[in-house]
Amino acid sequence: MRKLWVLIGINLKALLSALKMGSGKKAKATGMGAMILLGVLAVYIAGVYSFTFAMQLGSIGMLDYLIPMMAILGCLLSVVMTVQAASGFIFSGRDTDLLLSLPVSAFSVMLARITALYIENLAFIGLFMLTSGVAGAVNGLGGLGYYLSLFVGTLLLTFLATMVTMVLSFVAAFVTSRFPNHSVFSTVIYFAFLLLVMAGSFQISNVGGLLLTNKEKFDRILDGVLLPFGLLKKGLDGNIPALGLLIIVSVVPFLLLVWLFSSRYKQVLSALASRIVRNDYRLGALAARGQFSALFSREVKRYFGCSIYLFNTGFGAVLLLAGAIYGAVMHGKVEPYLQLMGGMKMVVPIAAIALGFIVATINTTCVSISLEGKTFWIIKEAPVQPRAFFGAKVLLNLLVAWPATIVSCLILGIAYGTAPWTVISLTAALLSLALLIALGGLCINLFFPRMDAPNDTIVVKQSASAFIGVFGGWVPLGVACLGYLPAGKVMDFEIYCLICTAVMVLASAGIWHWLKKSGVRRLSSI
Amino acid sequence: MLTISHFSKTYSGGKRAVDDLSLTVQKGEMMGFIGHNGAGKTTTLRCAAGILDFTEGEITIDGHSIRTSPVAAKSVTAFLPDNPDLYDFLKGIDYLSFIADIYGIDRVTRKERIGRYGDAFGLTTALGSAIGGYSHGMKQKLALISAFMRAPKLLILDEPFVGLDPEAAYAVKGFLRELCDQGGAVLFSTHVLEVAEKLCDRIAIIRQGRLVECGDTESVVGNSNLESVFLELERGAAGKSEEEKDNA
Repeated sequence: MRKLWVLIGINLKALLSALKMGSGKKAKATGMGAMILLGVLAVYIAGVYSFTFAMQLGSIGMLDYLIPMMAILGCLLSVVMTVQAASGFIFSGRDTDLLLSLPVSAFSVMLARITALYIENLAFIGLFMLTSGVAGAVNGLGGLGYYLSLFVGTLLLTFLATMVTMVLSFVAAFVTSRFPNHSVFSTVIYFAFLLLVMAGSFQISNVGGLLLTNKEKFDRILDGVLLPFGLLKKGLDGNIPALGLLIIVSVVPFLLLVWLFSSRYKQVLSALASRIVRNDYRLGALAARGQFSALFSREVKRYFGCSIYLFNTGFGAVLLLAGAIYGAVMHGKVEPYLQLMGGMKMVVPIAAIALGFIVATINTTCVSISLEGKTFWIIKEAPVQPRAFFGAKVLLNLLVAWPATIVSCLILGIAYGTAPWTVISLTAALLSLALLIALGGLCINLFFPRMDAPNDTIVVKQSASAFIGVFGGWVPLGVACLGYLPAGKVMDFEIYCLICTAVMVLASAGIWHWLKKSGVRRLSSI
Repeated sequence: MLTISHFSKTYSGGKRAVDDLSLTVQKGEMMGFIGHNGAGKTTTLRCAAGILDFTEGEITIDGHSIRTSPVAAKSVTAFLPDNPDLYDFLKGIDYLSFIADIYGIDRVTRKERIGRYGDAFGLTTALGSAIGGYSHGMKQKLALISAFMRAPKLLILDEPFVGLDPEAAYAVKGFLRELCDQGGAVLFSTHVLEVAEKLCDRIAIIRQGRLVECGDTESVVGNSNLESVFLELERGAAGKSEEEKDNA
């Protein structure tokens, strides 16, 4: 047992160290900052949803469904946020060889890893459910049974979220290990998973309607597929045996899964570590190209060779295109609502915000220097001008963001008969936003590089630069939106778009100038 | 070819890794850089290759300062770290092509050189596979091919023989000598003192960041052997520090 606690401690430290950057006080500060950011995110999402749901459900006398609904949402979010990191943590941890060579069972190693993951999930779900509990209490829920069930339910449902995370990350690792090209297959799996989650989140927003029209059907779901959440609801209603049953349906399968997976752990690790080297290459004619072209080609190959990088930074482009096609196909159904909203004059600015919001998530540069990792010596010892190095990274970002932006604006513009002048000005503004974000991302990564991460997942999902890159991308968009409130009264939307374009291009030029001067010094100090 | 003058390097935590080190490596010369673990060898080599920055002293390669004219200095240099992490997402041949593009090696020359060094290291047939599947030794060989392929004026290597099979190690020694015979210069660190003694024209010994011995191999070794000289210097320096502590 003592060995297990030691293993859990090590694994928890490994998980938390993924959030840290640098060493000493800086590491503590960045680690703490990242945890606070995650905590604020949990409280914010839970606050927005729980108070909204509480008002809706309270008005139809079904407030007792609030906590189960929020528990479903909290678990789902927790899974989404940890599944990719879990796959890297469990199956690509650099300490796996060391741990498995110790006189401990594979079961203990697996249990320790999963327990560390459980504790991380518990921190998120705990804050999420605490906020939801406050929303329930403010709207009239309460009593000893309520708080006890909330506490016990949070502890137990975290097992469920951790189990789902385990299953998904295990299946992804196991199946991909069977394919020679791991990265392509895992990208497909993650895209499929996210589409599933999106479909699920649409269902959650329909829950209010489902409760109002078909309460019995929802109760049946809670007694069937979502039994743990149904048991939580019964516990909240004062049914203590239901809480006892919840312990059985969450803890027992959790331990069974740990045992089952640990028995296959070495097999999966062996398959993932297996080397496929063919000895049939014959040296033929070789092509030559320029230095910049070589650097750019390297960026492209890294992008498509790293599923986590492609998935996290390229999903915005897929979403843009899918959204535009969906919007065009649903044109007939959407049109009446657009008229209700005040016609295209009102809708276009809202659509611009939505498109800008997605464009801002396409940020490959904010992690691209960190992804050089231990191979950074190759570039540092090469006679490469820093501006060529920066330029190749920015160009990749634009290659991902610009075509999707142009095509989606064109599709929506044609489908909804928007004036060409409007489409052109909006497209120009979005393209300049993408440029600003690509250059800004590079600056962020120069200030917050993470060169020693044990795997790419930690760089892309958990590094400070990735956090700041994603949230920071919304800052120029937010400023532009706020600026439109007064500006929209005195000028056309199209003129405002062109002004925004000019401002963002100027800001981009300023950042490029900074990169060529101070950015070079920062690069050499990494 | 390589001039290091009064070079010092202090890390951000305040640790002084190298202290006022000066040495030169002439054209056609092979210098062995020897020292215990943590003596400052890797720091010196990395600074000379332009991988780490520094504020004290000066390092010039073929007349170009690595600090103020890094691109010019690097274009005539090749560096091989002790544990070469390469791009796992590229095939071996793609990596070599990438390096060839960066150094502007034309198509015909790169094919000829890749074929020559690839065959010598027995790696040509595996160049079509992803580097991610390579063993440590194969990666080391690939990094060596990429270094020799550039025909550098200065070759800086950190522990180049670690992980190599005897045949490849023999080939490396031959290529290093060939490079020097053609007017190139080589500076490499090693813990294998027999290799340094047999291979190097000059030897530099570093201890706690300071150069304690530097000269022709024959004059450094004298009638003894490099291992004895190195151990004697280490013991002498250790005794001196004990004495200084006692006096203090």
